[in-house]
Amino acid sequence: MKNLNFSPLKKLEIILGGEHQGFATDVLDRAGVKGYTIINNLSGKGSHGFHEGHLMFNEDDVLVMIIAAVPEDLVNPILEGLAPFYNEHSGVVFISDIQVTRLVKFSD
Amino acid sequence: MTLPLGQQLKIRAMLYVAGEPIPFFWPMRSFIHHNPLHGLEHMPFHKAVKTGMRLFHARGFLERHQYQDYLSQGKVDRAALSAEIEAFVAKQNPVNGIDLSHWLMTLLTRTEQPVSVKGSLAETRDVCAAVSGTPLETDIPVEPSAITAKLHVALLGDRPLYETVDALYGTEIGTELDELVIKSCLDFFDEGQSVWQMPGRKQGLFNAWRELATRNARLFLRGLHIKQILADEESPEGVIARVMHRLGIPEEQWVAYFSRELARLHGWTGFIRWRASARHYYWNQSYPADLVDFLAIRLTLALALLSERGRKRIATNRSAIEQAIETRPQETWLRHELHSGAILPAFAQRVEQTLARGRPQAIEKLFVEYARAKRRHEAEVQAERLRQLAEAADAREAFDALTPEQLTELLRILHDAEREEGMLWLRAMEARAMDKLLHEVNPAPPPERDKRPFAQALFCIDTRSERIRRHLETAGDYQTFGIAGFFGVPISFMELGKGSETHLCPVLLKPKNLVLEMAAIPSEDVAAVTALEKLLHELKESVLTPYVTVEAIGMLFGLDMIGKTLMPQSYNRWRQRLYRDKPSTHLLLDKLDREQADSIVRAVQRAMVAKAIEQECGLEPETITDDMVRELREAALGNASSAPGLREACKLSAEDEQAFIQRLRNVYRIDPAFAQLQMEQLGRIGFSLDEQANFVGQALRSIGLNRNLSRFILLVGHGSSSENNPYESALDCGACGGNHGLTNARALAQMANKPPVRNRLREQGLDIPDDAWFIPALHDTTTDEIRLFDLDRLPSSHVVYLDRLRSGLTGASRLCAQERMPELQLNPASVDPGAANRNARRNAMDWSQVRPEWGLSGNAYFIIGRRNMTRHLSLDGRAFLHSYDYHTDPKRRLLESILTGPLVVGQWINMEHYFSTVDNERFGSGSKVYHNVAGRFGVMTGNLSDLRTGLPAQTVLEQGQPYHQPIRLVTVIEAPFEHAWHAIEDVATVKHLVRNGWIRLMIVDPEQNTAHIYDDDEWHSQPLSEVIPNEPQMESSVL
Repeated sequence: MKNLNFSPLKKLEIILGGEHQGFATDVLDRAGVKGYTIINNLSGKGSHGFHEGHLMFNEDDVLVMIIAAVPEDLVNPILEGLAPFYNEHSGVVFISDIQVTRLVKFSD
Repeated sequence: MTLPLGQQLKIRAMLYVAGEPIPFFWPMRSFIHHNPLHGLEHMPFHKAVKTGMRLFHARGFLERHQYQDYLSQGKVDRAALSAEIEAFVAKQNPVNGIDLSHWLMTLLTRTEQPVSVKGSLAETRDVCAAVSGTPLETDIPVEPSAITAKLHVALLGDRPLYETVDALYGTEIGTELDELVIKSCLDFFDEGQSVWQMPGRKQGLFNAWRELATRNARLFLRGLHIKQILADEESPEGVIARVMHRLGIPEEQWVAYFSRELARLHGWTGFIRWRASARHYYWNQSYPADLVDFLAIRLTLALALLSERGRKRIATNRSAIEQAIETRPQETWLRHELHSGAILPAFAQRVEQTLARGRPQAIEKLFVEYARAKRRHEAEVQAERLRQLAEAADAREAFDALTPEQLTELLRILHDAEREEGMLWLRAMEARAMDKLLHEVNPAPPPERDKRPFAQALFCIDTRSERIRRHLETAGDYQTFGIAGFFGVPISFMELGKGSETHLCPVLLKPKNLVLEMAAIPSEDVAAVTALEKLLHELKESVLTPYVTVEAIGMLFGLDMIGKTLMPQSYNRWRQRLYRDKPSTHLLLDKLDREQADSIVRAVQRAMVAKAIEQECGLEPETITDDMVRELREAALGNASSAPGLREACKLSAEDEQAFIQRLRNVYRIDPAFAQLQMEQLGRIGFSLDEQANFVGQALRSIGLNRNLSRFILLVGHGSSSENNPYESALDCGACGGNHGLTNARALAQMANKPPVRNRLREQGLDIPDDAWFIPALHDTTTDEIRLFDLDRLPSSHVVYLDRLRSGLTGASRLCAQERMPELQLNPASVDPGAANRNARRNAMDWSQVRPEWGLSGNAYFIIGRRNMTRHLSLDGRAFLHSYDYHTDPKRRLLESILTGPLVVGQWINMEHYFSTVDNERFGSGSKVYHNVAGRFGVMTGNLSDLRTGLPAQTVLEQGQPYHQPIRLVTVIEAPFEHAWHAIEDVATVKHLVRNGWIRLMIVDPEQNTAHIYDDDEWHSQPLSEVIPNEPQMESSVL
């Protein structure tokens, strides 16, 4: 393993109700984020109790997580864009420092 | 100037949140029942209704006299109403000498007019004076500060500014603004109804509108200077921010302000919300639009209209209005009285003239005089109503003896009671419905059978199935079940001859698998179609063609050019001719294997290459050799560098050859990445064996049909048939996304009849006997007829029984029509089955029939349990019946599925009917007679109105009075208490619906013989009475 260049980025993990997935991806798309990963049917415990992730007939009724790696200068605009939503809805956003090797996948 | 990215995103999010209280509106081709207050379901029912009433200016309950009618008909439980009143009174301070319970009962049941007078000036001391007949202390002037505070509440807050201006100056900006916005929307959203098309629609709603509006001379001549407003901002977000700052609305109020603004045209808003969320929707992909565009247009036009009116020296921004309230409260108040319609008629002309003259002293003088008169008037009206109520309550003496303090307290209690009144009535009405059912259900386990039934039939849970099931059960040895009408198989369906997909499942789901409909016999017309000959010839060897149409291929392969670009005329001619009479069809349900998929992609590529040579190089089809095509294809895919065959035939230079190969990649999409996409598309076709076995197993287990399967198992989807009816889809199957349910029935039957599927199920312990045969069928809910399908596949051993089956079905149909017909006729006399059948058929074909059937109107119950519980009851087509046997579901997964899907959809349907009934003008769509189709996706009243949402008057009202009895869905689960309650606790949506009172829940525990009723955050238990079921009661109904 040689000549690996590590570039710093921020990772956003956005957790919200499945019916609002389109809203969150729209914010990311408009912010110019180049890609994201979506995990469906989350299980876990939060302030609203335990969420099971196995529902069959109602896809809106699950929690999803959207993971995106973004340059630092996009973090604030994205959070600003999510703020009015989280004033009304449950869910969380985690922000962490990460490093990637192929920066071109994440940033222009 | 451009708005910073963060600000733009923030405004978008604000609009997202602001739009949430306004429900989706789906195009009417597939009518989706929904709760008009869906966006408020996180609140308790009564609070949501209050919020909704304010936001939509609508009523949340019936009017008092309508509840009184129900009371006299026994549909409201008097004892329950009395108990509700007692509970209310218990929370109040007693008023000496007054029997509050009696007063309130009198108020609700014996007076039609509300006792509360909406007063703006009269104080309680004025009312006391009016009651006792002493002169009013009118020399005490009205404090300007009191008026200022009232004006603040009435005029500011989140109210759109032009509404305030209208309320003060009678300018009617709101009406004009709505009209301008509707016209813009009609132009942009048109889906092929209009001859003229708005230019530039591909750029999106705001941009297309902007292009036109800045050049629109009519708007300019009208004095609206749109250009100035739009000059400095590019983005719709920027325009919104700019206008809001100009209007002077503080940012913390924007979300609430946006909600009010959007709610003015809630039909259009709902449509745009839905459309923006429907990524697959063709028209949205072609002509995108969202709420940000919509609001930017609204605000621009609003500001232009305000500026135009502002030239007449009226206050047109927030601070100017605040100033008017602070510095000239008397004038502002008189203006508000005059233009909000609250003015005393005798003063109207003088007030108008004095305001027009604008002399401050004259205004002040008139104010003093008017305020005095108004105060007296309000006090006297209030006193009179109290007196009338006292008379009605037979308590005049006690009333006359009240001290002013007691009178004040009484007045407050009466006001509060009237505010809560709707809930009191509603709960008393529900109490009757719940009580009746609990007295009649039979919790005993079904008797053991010694032989299997002649036939079993699975019907949709739809309330209309209840009647036909009941009649079928009496027609012979039939056992019936209820299951969501898509039979648990979510399908994206491509119909024969159509090039688009239809989602056949509840809107809560997005189907992942594609099912193609194929002609059972290949079309003979194919050879005649020269333009497509090559492609179809190429595909001849594959499993797909020639059974599916070219549209389907074009769609599957993203080859839009097949029809529209390469061969527009011949394509359209061919399309019109082919499948004019629909041939018999099969469904392609199985997955293609890799080899098949590969060969199909290759064949399509070869056809495209051949077509390209013909078009671009002008070669005749017979001179195009297979080698030439192969070389070119390889080259385009990057497996070869040149194509000597073509080069020779056409004498091309090396550059031309490379350019042609490049063109094949770019224009004709012959490249590896695109091929990969095509493979993915093909991968969507059909279901794997495991998936098929799971669907069949899940469907049978979820209704408790896991043993004793009959020779015939009918899967009965349903649909309606009517003519000239934009609401036809509302009568189809909601579980199939507003389509008829036959395709899903056919799909499940085809799966269940397949030996490999049965083998797989046998391994899982579900044994379908070899002689059991699944037959798809369609129940026409307008005529009550049941037609069987795919009989060509029926084993010969079953044919002998077919007559018996058919005569059973026919008998049930005719009896069902006989039961239903009197409710549809003006004269509700009963008819014989034959005449009923004829009338029902006529309804289906009559162009002028506004009410072909009552549809889901009347729905009241959702019953999850074994049929034995209700088999002996006539539920009048008012119950959704979902079969469920808790013995087969120890882990509660099946029950949870029923709760999350079918029950939630049932609740939407129920709430749609509820609100369309209590306020048909605001939540419903008014009379069908005035409806015009708008843009091919909705209806308007007259030639310009908001899109009408909800149900038309003809669906829920009969001669202006409710036909549907609006109550919340009474949901019954038959299972041990712990079992059912845990399932509900595990499903967040349903848990909230129950706790917030959007559905009324009862658990019938057959093991303890106890009913558990959830009410006011707690459970109440009561023993179930012994029921000795008779044979089904045809005449007496439970309700």
